[in-house]
Amino acid sequence: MCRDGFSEACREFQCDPNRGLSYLQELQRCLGFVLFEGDDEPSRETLSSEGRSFFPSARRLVDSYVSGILDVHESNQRDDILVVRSTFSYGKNLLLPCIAKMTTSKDWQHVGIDLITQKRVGSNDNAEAHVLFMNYRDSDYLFFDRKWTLVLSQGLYASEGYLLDIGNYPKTPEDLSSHSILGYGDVFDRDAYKRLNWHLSGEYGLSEMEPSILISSPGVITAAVEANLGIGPVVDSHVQFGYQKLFKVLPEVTGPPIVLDFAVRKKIPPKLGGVVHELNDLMLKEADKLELRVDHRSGSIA
Amino acid sequence: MIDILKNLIAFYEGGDRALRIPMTAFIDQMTRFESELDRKILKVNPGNSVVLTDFARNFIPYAKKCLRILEDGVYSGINLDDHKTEQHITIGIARDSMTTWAINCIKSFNKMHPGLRLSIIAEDSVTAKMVDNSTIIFWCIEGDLPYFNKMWYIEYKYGLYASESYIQRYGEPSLSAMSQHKIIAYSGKDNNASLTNWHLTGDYNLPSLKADVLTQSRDLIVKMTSEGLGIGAVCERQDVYYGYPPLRRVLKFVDGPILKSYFMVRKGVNEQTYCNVMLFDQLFKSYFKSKNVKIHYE
Repeated sequence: MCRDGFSEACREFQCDPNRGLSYLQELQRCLGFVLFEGDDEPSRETLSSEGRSFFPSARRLVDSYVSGILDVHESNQRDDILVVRSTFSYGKNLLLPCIAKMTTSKDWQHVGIDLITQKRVGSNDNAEAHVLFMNYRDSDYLFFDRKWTLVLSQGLYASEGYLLDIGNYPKTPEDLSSHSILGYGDVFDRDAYKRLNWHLSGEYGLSEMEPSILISSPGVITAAVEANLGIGPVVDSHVQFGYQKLFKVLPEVTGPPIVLDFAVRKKIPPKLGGVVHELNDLMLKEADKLELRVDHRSGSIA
Repeated sequence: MIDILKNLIAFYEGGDRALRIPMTAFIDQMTRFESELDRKILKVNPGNSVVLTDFARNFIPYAKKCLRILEDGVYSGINLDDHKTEQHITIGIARDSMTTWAINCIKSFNKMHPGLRLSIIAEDSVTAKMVDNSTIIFWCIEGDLPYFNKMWYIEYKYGLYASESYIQRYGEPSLSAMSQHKIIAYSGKDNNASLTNWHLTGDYNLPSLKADVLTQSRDLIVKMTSEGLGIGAVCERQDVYYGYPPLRRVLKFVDGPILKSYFMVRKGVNEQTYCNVMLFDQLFKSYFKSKNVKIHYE
């Protein structure tokens, strides 16, 4: 990551710059040379000539580390269980139906699956997965190749029942003040959900709003909108996951896109290769059928 | 804070078996405590198990002292929770229950009290945040949750189920041929994992089975069964509890465990909050009564 500058590397790894600097200084002490031009400059954007020469070795070092971690995980894992880590909502509504289609294939008879939808807790947790279908930072893709990305738009939705009950269809952002607004999180920890609460922040053409109901799980908010509890942020594609009774209110209001990467581990046990390939194809077909936007940027940073 | 200290002391005195929350929730709780103290509480020893740091061990006598003072305060009528519950009510519940039946109870409540702020913590397992913040928790649990009173419970009777499409494709499963079937199981590592995977234990008139369709989400066990991925250990009446069309029971002589989901209320809530809690109590009970689900009292 340091190829793009030291401060960029700190940002990407969410590392405090002071702590990053002490790591860098420790590394330079071990190596016996400086890695960046003008090492006393706070920005450290350009590699020194020694840094450039060292770069291929650093890359081999990372490869070797990645390979070691993957080997350790592989030796501890069953080679006939495909481990997939996904968000709950897309695991349930997109991945599982695709996996169900695979049950007729020959490969499926000899393999199983472990679908993990919990948040990871440790930095190496992803290494146990063969396939990721989530949104990560680039630095999380050390062990994976990103194959494609779903880019999902979101807006504000309400149910027909809610709009009929309240008898007031919002025509302008100001009209929302007389509505029940749903938000993510809980009353004790609102900051943790800032990114999901785009509609409350006073941006995206909306005024700042206070939610009347807070919900901790993104999957549940769509169900709450459908149950006439109010107006809430919903990913447009959720309407295709059985929530057909939802109406987009203020169609001109578009929230930040939600990005989900389909990534495959760099080392896959031979027994699972065919299943991973088939899952990739089925997911792409399903995305195409649902007219979801697929971005084919690929690769990994390691 | 009380729960953090209680869990820290429980872990010190009895290890992870003494905890009443999943180990992952305990680690989350301690991580937050660590950042508050700016000191390490937990460390991983060479055998890969999580242990207390020397700092944490030295802190235990002080934690016990703090807890005594706090508990004295709580139980002598100084209601430490009033600030949380005065204008809000927070419900901790399983995600699948919330998205299927409980959402309608929330809707009814919201109609009666449109001004009251509601917060819903819908998760796949009991989390430290849920225990710390909820006014009501509706959950399948053994033993007690600290600072919660159990009011009543419903029973879930477990058995083995498969979808019609699965049975059409692979035939009616027999005991002798179970090893040829895909078995669905829970791959999470919380305290209730072995209870969720009762069908893999070799008890309940079943041979020792190996699972090859796994998930770390209890919600998805029913979804996987209903999608025809294999045979799942699921509770009866999936339409009532999960909103799925009923599945076909297989190996009917296999009666799994009966688990209890409790309606639990935080101790010491103020009078106004208690009235709101009782409203939820009635709404939840009404739903179950309308579906002929028996309410039990201990």
